Amino acid sequence: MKSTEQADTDIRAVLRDHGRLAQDIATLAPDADLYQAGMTSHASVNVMLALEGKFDVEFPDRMLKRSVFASVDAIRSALAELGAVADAQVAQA
Amino acid sequence: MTGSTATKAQPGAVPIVFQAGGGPCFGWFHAGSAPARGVGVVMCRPLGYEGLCAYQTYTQLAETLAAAGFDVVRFDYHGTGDSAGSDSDPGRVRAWIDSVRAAIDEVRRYGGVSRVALFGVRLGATLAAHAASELGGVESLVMWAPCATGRSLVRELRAANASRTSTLHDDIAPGDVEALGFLFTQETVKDLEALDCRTLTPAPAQRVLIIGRDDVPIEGPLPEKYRAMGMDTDYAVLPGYASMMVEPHEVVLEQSTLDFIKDWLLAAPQPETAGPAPARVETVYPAGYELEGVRETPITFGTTHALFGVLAEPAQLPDNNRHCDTAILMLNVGGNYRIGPNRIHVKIARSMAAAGYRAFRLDLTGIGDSHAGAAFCMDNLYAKDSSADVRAAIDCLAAKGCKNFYLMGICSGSYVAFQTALVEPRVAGQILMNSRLLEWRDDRAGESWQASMQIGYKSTDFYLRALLRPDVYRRLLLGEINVNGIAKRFKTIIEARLERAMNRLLGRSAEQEDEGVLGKMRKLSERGTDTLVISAAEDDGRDYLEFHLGRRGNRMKGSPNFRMLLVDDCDHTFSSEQSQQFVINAMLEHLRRRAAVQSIPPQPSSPAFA
Repeated sequence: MKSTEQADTDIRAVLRDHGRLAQDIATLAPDADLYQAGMTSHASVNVMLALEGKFDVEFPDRMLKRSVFASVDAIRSALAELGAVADAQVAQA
Repeated sequence: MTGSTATKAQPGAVPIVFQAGGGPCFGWFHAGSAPARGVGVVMCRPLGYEGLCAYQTYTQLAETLAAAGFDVVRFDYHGTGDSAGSDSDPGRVRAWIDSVRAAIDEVRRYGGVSRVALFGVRLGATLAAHAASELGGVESLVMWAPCATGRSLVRELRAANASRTSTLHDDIAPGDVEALGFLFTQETVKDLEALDCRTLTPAPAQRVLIIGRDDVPIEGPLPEKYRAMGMDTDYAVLPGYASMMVEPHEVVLEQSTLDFIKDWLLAAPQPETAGPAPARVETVYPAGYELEGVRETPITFGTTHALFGVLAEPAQLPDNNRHCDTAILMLNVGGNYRIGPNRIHVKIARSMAAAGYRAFRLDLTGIGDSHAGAAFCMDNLYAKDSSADVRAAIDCLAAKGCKNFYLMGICSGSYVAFQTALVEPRVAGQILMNSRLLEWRDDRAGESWQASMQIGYKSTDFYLRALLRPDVYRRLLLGEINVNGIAKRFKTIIEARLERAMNRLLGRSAEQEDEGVLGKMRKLSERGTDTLVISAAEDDGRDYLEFHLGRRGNRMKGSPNFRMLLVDDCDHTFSSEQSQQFVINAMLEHLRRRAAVQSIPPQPSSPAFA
């Protein structure tokens, strides 16, 4: 299980390599809308596959929706739900 | 030079038509150069958007293999590409596998070969493996980035579907998936999910080459599974997948990988006991094929017959059908070959033909199967030379009895339509959709509109309406919105308007407008050339059009030969079924309206405007 910080780094690396964003991923806030930043439907599929490879998970069908891949925060939350990332809220408690 | 069905657009390649999946399927046969290898290769395409992206790579590989002595068939499954049928037909997956099987028969007949190899990318590889397992006897199988299971593809389709805005998909049936411009019905999804390359019995081929993606490191289960099945299995990650699966005008061919595939096929051991090779059947250029009241004919045209297109027309041409005098020529959108993005040109062509018109979807030089001249690149998007290809197509259709010629184009296709209309007096009308530029000047490549429209945004109308939504201000503060980019677009428009106002003050406006889009559009209208402009309300091309032609085209007000329609809830290439149907209905309604009021037939002696 990866820490929140490591997860953020890995998620951003995936988005840099596969998101085809019009903006530099380093400049985007964790809750910035990736689709607004230029991520296409086709690119979002590659992001999903790359995340699955990087975090050794498979997103279940119920998670195949726009909101799950809409921001770095949303992706990290989904990965936390799948047990691949430490849940920040639990860790703080 | 008129069109012909006697020669070929590509050296060594001949169009073929065969029955599979309940109707005619279209493909190409590439005869192997000497020395013949005695092996036929069938190339199975990926589905949907990926099939469009990979078209150029498939053509290049077919030529590479044919040059090495292989006989090659590349083809469209039933319901795809230029073949009959549609996404919404029942029994899609069965029809696709049957199409592969029928294509294998074709390569055996035309090549006179008994030994067969299959090649497929993505779902093409999956379908190839299933057809091979069913048929038996396939010697070699090349799977590039295969979908090990249909379920894995369905997941990707769902993810792609989910990332779209919901308003574009309100009309699809529950269980259907509309992804990247193509529809997968509930039945198709269910049948796709039943495909599994891991458990095929018997094994699909004697030897298999699995090529991994160069962008996402996923080996998948197939190499291990196929070794366990006793297949001679090679696995390699090679360059070229990522550069193949991009918008067609951005595709970069990786010849080294195509050569690797060729060499791997050449390395197949000679079988100790090969079955008798069937007698080689000479290919005959197909006269055409019928599908539900429509006849489609593959046609070469141009001075060297190096250009290619498919003509759709009513299957029966009654003497009293005056619509048949009218041909709609459908021009390439970017690097997308003649079927158009989302296969929209095929849908429009068949709808037009069913209504009695003729519709010609064609490839301009360097795109699809028109191989004259240099390969396609971004520089071709706004090439004036393309008008020569369109005029050659008009010559071809005129020889077939057409008298009225409409040019139809989306985005860069509308640029070619407009530029051709200016120089070709036989153009009776033009249908311009989601235009982003109608003029291109090399001396202004880095300036104003030309530079600005190379980056896609939404229309300013969209942004202004967005300012009424409270959430936008939160997102602005959070930096989620590309303020700089949008601001640059607004700046471009404001500067252009200021420049125009200044020219008016200096008395230079009349001269400049005569030379600009508005002046040229007015001259076309005066010439009697009909114009229908269709623009998505949120498309940024609307800004360009409205700058030149006025809001909703009101600077053309009073012209009987000009209409402009705005369409809500559609994207730049009309990817949803709903928006495609809107376009088809709008075109038919416009042509009917035009026929009803038309009093000025096209004048062959009308002037051209360079």
